Amino acid sequence: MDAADRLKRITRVAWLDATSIAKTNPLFLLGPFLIPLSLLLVMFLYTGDRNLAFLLAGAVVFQAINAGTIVFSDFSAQKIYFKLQDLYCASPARPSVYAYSKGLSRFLTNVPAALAYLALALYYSHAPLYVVPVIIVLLVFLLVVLTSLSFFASTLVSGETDVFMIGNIFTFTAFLLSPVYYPITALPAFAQPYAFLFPATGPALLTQWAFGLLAPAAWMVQLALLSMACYAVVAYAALRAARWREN
Amino acid sequence: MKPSTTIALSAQSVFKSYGGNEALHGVSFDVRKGEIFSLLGKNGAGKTTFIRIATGQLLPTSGTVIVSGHDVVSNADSVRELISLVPQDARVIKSSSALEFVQLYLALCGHSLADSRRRAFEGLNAVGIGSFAGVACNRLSGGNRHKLLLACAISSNAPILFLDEPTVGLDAQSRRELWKTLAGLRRKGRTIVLTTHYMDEAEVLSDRVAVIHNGVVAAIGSPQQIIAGTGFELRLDVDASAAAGLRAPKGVERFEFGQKIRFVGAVREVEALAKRAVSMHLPISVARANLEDAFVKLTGETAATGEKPTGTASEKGAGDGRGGNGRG
Ligand SMILES: Nc1ncnc2c1ncn2[C@@H]1O[C@H](COP(=O)(O)OP(=O)(O)OP(=O)(O)O)[C@@H](O)[C@H]1O
Ligand SMILES: [Mg+2]
Repeated sequence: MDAADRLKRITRVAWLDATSIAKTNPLFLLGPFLIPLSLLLVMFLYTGDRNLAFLLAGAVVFQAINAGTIVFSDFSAQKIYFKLQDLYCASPARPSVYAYSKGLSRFLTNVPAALAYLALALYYSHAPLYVVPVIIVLLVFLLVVLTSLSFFASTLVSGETDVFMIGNIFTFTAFLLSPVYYPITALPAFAQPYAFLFPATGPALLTQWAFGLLAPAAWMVQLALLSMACYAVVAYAALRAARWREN
Repeated sequence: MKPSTTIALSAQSVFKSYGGNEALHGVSFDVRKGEIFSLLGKNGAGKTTFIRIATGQLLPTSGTVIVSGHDVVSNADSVRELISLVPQDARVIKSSSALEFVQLYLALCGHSLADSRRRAFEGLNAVGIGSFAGVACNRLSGGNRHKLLLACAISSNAPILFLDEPTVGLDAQSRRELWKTLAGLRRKGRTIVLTTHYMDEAEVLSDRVAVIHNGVVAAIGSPQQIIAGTGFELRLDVDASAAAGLRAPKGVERFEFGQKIRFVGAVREVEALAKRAVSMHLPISVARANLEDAFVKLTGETAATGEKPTGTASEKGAGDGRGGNGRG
């Protein structure tokens, strides 16, 4: 199967899955609006509209983080609880198609929220429209990396407690420890380089830059690109190392 | 390896241990192309373990399984292109519709949107739940949810189907409908490997069966060969409350059987016993010995002696349908 065929399968399955979710649980589409909104509200009450553009840019990046981390519980449930990974494993379905179609499906259900926050972020940051494709590329990159890691981790878990524990680690590191909703410069100077250890930091920084919200130092951009290159390799390795078949 | 024109699956000395627990202790047999082949065995005998190995879900500890010429360990993806599975314990409790569930499976397997939709309808109709296509999976009854998995397997065009206890939870009508469907698939040249605890099912459905016991193939052959291999021909059922005076002659096995006592053996001995029962005015029923009688004999020793099922039995006895390496 060549890359184009694989991509076609992934989008096809993702489309089927996402439309089915949207049809049967329309409330599902509200989640990705509400989660950043609650954070936005708290921060707004606390700091006024000073950080509004950062918060909105964060809400855009959040859409990829959310989809890429929530799939961990999807994969784990399919494997441990529904036992459907067995069904797919013993079929022509490929692990990459299985994993990325689910990631993309989750992302598709976040698209309405992503578009809304993107429009608001553009409005408040006065960024030109041509940054939109750049931001989409960054979101897709983050989605692919997090989905790969989620899939890899899900093939290692064996019980429900593992699922909650690992799920929390994912959300925490990708979402709270990374400077997604605030500028990296808000961190103490010594901690700033370490922030790039987390997968969301690079894409978030570049997104904030694209919106024109901050002018990062050259080393920050270099570290962001280096971290993204490393995560691209890690994502590929994670997909290969995922235990589609058990020992 | 060059694919055989007649062999769909060939297992050679398959061992599998889970930690210290050895589930398979050198399982060898062949499945011919286009046959319905049933794996029988008590709970925990290793049927699911074998199916998981043969379908690329689980690595064997040692041994080889070749499916249509492809080694399932080194060339699993080629094997996966040719198979479809109904897992024993999958749970379909999603909120998506029945049609969407099957369609998603087919799309994952590479079918186009239109093709997967058409096939999904066909699959649902084939298992008799076409009218539930638009119903959410989690609103279907348990048996109908199970049929969704069957619909997935049937609607794929996989030449080899693995069905792990496909009729669990199905009503009598549905069970017979499914048998008919499977027989139809067989006529179209598909190979079906299934496991079941229903011996009547194995008997009416299978070209051949293998009994796995103590981690090895204890018997293999057509249901008739398996029965003949145990020496069983006729059985006699008598009410347990009335059978006290009835002793089993040499060569006749006696089984406690619910509220009945069942005697199974060769025609001559069982007929003699039946005559004695009639002379004692006991109500009796006599019938041909069936696969269940043979199965209980083949797998009964462990339970009777309380021996630990650690897989020490050897594949002895190459007589009709008994033991052997399962080839030919
Ligand atoms: N994941 C596992 N980890 C450890 N042991 C296992 C695992 N799966 C199966 N076993 C053990 O392997 C043996 C064979 O199990 P298996 O599920 O293959 O039996 P089976 O013949 O399918 O039984 P049943 O008829 O009840 O479905 C059993 O002793 C079981 O406890
Ligand atoms: Mg089983």
